[in-house]
Amino acid sequence: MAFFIVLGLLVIASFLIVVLQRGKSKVGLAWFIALVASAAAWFVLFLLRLFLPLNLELLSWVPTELFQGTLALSLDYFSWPYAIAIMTLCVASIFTETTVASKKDSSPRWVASLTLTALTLVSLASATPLTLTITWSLIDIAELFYRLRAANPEKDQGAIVRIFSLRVFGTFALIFATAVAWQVQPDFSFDQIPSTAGLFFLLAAGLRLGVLPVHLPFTQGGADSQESKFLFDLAPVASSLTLIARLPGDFLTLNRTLLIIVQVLSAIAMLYGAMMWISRKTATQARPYWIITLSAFALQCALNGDPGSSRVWGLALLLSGGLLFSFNPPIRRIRFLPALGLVGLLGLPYTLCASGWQGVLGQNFGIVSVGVLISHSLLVLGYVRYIAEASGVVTGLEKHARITFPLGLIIIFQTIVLLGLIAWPGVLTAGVWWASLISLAITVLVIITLRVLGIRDLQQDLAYKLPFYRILSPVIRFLRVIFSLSWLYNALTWIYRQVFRLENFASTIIEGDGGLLWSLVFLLIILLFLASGVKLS
Amino acid sequence: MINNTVIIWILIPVALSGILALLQRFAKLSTAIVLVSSALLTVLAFILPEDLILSIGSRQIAFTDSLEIFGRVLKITKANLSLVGGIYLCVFLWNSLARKLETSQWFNALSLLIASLWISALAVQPFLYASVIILLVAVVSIPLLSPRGSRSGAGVLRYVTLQAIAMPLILLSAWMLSDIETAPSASALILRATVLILGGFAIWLALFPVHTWLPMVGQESHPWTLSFLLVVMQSSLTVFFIYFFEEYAWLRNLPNIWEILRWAGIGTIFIASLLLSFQNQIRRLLAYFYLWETGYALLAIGLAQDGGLHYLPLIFMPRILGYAGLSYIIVKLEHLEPDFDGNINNLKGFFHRYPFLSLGLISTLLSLSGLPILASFPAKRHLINLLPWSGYGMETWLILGFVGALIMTFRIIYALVSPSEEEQAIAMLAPQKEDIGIAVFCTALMLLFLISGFFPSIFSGLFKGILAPFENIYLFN
Repeated sequence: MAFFIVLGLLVIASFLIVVLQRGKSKVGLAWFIALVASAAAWFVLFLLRLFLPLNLELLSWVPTELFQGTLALSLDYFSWPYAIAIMTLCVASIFTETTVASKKDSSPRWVASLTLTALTLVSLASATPLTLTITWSLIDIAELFYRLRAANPEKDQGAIVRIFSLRVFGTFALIFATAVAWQVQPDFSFDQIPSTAGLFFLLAAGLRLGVLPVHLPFTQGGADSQESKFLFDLAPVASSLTLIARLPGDFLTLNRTLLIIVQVLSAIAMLYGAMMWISRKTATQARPYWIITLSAFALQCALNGDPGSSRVWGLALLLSGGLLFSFNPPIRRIRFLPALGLVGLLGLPYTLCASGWQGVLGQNFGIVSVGVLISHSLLVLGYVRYIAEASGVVTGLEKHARITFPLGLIIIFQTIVLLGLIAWPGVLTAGVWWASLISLAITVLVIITLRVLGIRDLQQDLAYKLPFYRILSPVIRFLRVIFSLSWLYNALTWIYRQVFRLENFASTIIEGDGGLLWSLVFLLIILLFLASGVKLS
Repeated sequence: MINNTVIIWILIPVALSGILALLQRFAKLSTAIVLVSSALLTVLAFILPEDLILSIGSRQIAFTDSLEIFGRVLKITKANLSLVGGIYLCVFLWNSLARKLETSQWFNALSLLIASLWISALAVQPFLYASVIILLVAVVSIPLLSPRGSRSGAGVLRYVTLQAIAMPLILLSAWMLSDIETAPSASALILRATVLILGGFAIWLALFPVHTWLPMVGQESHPWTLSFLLVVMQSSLTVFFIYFFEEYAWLRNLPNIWEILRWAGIGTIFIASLLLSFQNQIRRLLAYFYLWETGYALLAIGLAQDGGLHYLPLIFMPRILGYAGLSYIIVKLEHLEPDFDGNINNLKGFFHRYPFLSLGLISTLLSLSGLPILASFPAKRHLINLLPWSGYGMETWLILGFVGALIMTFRIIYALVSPSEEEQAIAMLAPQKEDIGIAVFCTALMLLFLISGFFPSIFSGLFKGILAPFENIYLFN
């Protein structure tokens, strides 16, 4: 019931703001309503930690013998940490929005943030595949129309449709994964996923996250992009991450070849994402790669048979990422605040990520584990780089924003700390302490090397000051092309065009003068073929 | 005399269609008559009780359910009335907008006639005589598909030709059937009769590769008219197909027959989806979505052993909504944009100019494709779940089938939201005039898609009686 209070607060606040803004614009009041509602929802959601697990049945399709479909929610140790993370991002986005609120009416964005948060909370609390399928579709359609409404018609439309289509393909992958599991257990909930279907659920989540195979299901912020859109990129990720965390642990009983393919694709996405993350011009442009890399970490945990560990990498994605991406404008004087997000990323003992190392590295240290450590170091390096490059000044801010903006950042940090203590039983652990030290050592080593070489700006100085850059550059470009799988997508496009031409040719023949005869001949052949398959007893 | 179901749902509509043919120039009167009559026939079909005795106050009217005409018996029992109601519901829905959408002036009269002919095809006994009536339907459809004054297209000609070819196949199978009754079960006659029946139905249902008339007629004919003909034909033919399995034990007990039907369904879905993904002409979408839906109907019949038949009536309402939405939007776009040549790539900028029509088109395509929360999803989801996901043979083709339909949908969304190349951005963004009718229709359509998707039981009850006449088909397993 209390969960409905959370949802109700968000929905009612959205509705109130819409009604309020229909008359004379009252931006201040709208912001206050959004803030109070989201903060109250955040508080109630935090209290729910004391009552976990909570199960709520929403609706059963009738007649049950015909439909076998239940819409139900479940708030447990898998979904609650993600719910808190998303709620925190919502509160933080409303706090940090004040830096742009004075320029134009931001109330539609607050309404969108509150609505999206409510939908995401329902989605990540989904207890059955049917609920998740429906909420994914709801989020996708709502997001499509919101983005189309807000987009620049000359530039963004293609990207928006591409993102929508990739997400819908992910939803259909979930439908097919459900069908595989249905053979073992009809109308099951997520805590009953049969191990034979686990990999297919992972594929569905991976497709939606942009990892399997690597692609960008998120917007790439341009120079004029509104940085505050971070919630719209991060929120849809949460429910896919929850799905990964709920998967069964015994994947290895499955088709070994398929498992290896998925593992390789996931490792490619991880390394490619990390490389791209560190080499982008701005944090906003690098955001999709942050999501892909840490999502790949979560997938690795599931593939290593420890899907529960994926939660910490998912939370790092949302919270440490949210802290960095909400740091807009990047004011130099308070850059220590987003730097605190490293607490949730480094994986040092007794911090949030410490319990995630075991899952992502696996039982046996192998080549993928090396890739994980390198990717992690690149993520940390990139994080440090984007904070270090902060050059804004506080004088550009309104007076009230000088208080609310840092507050938004602090809220995210304190959630990182709190979740590191109480997210679920056993979260506070030393973990694999040496892994975090190795990653940290690589990071420090690279920073020292860059300093020694005099490279201050990665974009500009690298070409002049890095030894053997001319040899390294084509190698890196080649690796980027290979890892991005662009060659695969180009090949698929080429095949599509060839089949398109073939289909046109076939249509011309079959719809031409002799087409009727061709049709009948083909029908006869098919019937004879079928007749040969019918064995009379 | 008049309290006979055959007279009410077949003979009176036939007589009315004759009167409407005389009144075809009086558009409003003709439309009013057809709307009132079809609404009454629909309501009566759904409210008539099991015992066919209607109580109005203290008065009770008992209905008889059969009538002999020319030595043949026509029979409409309560079990048949769900489909009958559904067909007249289509007549009502399509006629309510037919004149506004500038269909043929014969539409009122002929739609009623076609509906009554389909019902008589399902009611005639012995039921094999239906094949003659089905050919009659094709002939009667010609004035609608190729109105007076317009050139008769190759598609219509091919449609009638193929229907004429299908008829003797079914009649020949009847001739063989008389021998089968005395033949041993292993007789080659069974195989021949099966091939004839399946061949006849493949042509009737326009399965690949005898589907070619569909896109051709789609291109040539009025979309609203075509969608009516297709929705009534598809619903009636699929039910008629089940009659064969109900009546003939040798057919339903034939080894592999259900697997063949499943493969036929999956193959049809895949081919429809493939053809959809490469399509450029918006008018042809209706034809290929018809093929796609036929695939699902065959799959449902093929999965009868596993309870798939229950989901056949569930597809009816989403299909009616989908076809009506698609054809209405195509007609309206062509009216509002006389320069639009029907090429999907030329839909650029339409999202900003015609927001209601664009949203309606997007939701229609997504619903037909089976997107969750929209109308087609509940039934299609269950059919997918009934497949034996173990060998990944059939399932792989089904997945590919979805991919093609989704590609088409995304291509259209992309075209709709892309800015027009020729026009200035500012001018392009200005919304054009979409009348209140368009806004109401598209909003109602989207709401119905959502309601059907969230609460499938609302419409499932309406057509669940369609399966009532079939008892034997459930006994074979």
